[in-house]
Amino acid sequence: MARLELTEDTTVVLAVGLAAMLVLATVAYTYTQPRPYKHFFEIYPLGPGKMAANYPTKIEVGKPTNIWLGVSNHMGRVEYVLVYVKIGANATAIPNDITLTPSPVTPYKQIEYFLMDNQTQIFPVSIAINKPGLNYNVMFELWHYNETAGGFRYAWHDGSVYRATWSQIWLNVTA
Amino acid sequence: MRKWKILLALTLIYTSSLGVRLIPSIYYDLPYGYDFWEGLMHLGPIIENGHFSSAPPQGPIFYLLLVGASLILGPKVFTVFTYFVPFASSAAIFFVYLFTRKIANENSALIAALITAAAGIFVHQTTLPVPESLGLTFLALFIYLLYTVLTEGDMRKFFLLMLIVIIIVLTHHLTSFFMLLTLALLCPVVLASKKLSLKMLTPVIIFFASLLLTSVWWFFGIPVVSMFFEFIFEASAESWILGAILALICLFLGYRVVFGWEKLRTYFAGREIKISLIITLTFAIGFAIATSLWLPMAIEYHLSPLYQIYYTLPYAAALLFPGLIGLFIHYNKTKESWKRFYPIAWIIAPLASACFLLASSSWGALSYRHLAFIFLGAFPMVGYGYHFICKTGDPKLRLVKGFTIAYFALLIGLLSFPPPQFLVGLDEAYYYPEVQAANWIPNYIPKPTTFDSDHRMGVVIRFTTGQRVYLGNETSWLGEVSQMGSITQINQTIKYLVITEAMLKYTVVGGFLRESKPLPATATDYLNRSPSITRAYSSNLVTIYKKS
Repeated sequence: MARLELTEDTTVVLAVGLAAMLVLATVAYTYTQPRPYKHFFEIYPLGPGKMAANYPTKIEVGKPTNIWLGVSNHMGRVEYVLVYVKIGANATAIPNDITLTPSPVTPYKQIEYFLMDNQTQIFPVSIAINKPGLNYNVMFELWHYNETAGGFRYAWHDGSVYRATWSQIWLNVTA
Repeated sequence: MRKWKILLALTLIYTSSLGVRLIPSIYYDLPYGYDFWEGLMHLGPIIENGHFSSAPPQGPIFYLLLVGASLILGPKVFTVFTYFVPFASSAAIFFVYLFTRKIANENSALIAALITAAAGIFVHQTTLPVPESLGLTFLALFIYLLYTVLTEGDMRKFFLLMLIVIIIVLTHHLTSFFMLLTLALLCPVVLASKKLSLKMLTPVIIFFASLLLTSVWWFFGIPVVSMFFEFIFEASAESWILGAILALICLFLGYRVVFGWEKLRTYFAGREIKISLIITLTFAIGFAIATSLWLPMAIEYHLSPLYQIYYTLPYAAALLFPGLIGLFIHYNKTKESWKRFYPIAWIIAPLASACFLLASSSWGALSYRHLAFIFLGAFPMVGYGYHFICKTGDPKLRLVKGFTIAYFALLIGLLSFPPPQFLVGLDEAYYYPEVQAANWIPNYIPKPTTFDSDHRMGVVIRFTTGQRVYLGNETSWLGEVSQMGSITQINQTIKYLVITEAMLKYTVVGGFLRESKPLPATATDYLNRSPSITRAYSSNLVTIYKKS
């Protein structure tokens, strides 16, 4: 059996080969890793013209006002989603973005949809408040059906961490 | 060395170079870095109209190449932006190999090419889809071609060299600047050569030709570049004497080495090898520590001591130490002064420029841009140094030394794409929810309007909307709140505020003249609780607020 002679040239080729293997192994490892933040939901209230502008700010007591709400699914699969509409006062009980807990306020309304991957659903939401007052914050929380838990959950897993999403408009109610 | 071994080694090195540069594109599946979004804006008019809009961008060759690649190869421009640059910039390994082979030998050249493939900051700058990555690649070719013309006087290569000069000038302003600066340093040394001939006048001819070309292009083609240099000199007005002294020290050392520092000849010769190695290693590590201690004071950035472990020590051990050895060996083996000076000139020119800027506290942060150019000049010397270390001592240890070089290559390769924690809080990657939010805006937010965001997210919004965006600087509410840590009045002209998770976790990226800081949680709390502000969009990673 021929013995490998460790000449200067062979050493250089070995070093280069090993370095290439190490680098390529790192690339292969990277390729197998899950991609960051690819799975997410979007939620957005829209004004009467289906634009994020001209939101109603003043409504009459008991009289319904219509806005649009957009929800998009980018979770990479079909999702069963639920939007809770909650009405608070002066933002005293808004969802917590750090602990990912929803607003403790009792839902005023709930809307459910099945969304395909990359599907956006824009639907009307009618809001009526029966008590006059200033600075009502109308919150829209996006919940999704969690098969493991067997029910709707506020936080969702994006592949690496849990996240939650909500939006909000403000209304003044006059008598 | 046999041809097949060389071809095998070069193929492996190119594959490694490509592999390491493709990591961010593969992982994030989006272009890496901030600047390309601004570049992308230039491509729309080219594709739609066949020409640039009113003023061409500062690197038209770069953009034309990308559009050309898209048209010829078929993928969309966005995909080309994401994946094309590593394929082109990895060619630098061949140019470094060819040049090192000329001034040293085959094995040093292969090691130099390997280090070029993996050297952290150089990899980073040649991965970003920006003109600089191609500028560095063309500069590597220029360094090789100029040396070839100087030594062989080949007229065909001279014309090729002229073509490369035109390409560099039309590709990247900073590369053109360093090319001019190095040629200016090189000319007197070449002219002082005892064997002066027509071919030796090449750097002088190239210098004046490129000076003329650059001046015309900068002043008439892209006046923004000359304005940029003007800003730098104006900002350095108070510190230019200190800057000039620091730059002159670099130049003095460079010239001193060339024109007789005969004591250096005893380094790495005869019985002096061991003591020379110890002195060089001590100097390399000492220099790295001194730099990392002085740098935060010079640039007024709060750099964590962890940075020393992450950057300076690996670079000192893996690049500076063998690089210095390479310099000594090169000095000892080369007799002609211009040949001694030629590879050194490509190191000291950007080094002197970096030292000049470092003296100016506000512009010192720009010095990081010089590192890739210093590295490019240093690679041949690093290869030379590693080869010398491999050859010296017991041949039985060669395999261990070879493995050590391979490990060092991987080590510095891993430093190529630092996380925000080691990059003064800059998250250079983009994520799908951010791009999606930027694409959502033009569909749901009526024009004309104004946005407040940071430089990182703002350039994407500017690209998708074409609207006015505050980029986290002094005019931006987010920029000011992050700097002061307390809530202020939101500017009347701001209609929408776009906040990303990166702003809260890392920094609101503003200009480099001041250190970026994270957005305090009180800012989002204020926005969520203020009745005059609608939380108009949320995907958790991005939240858009509308101000009434």
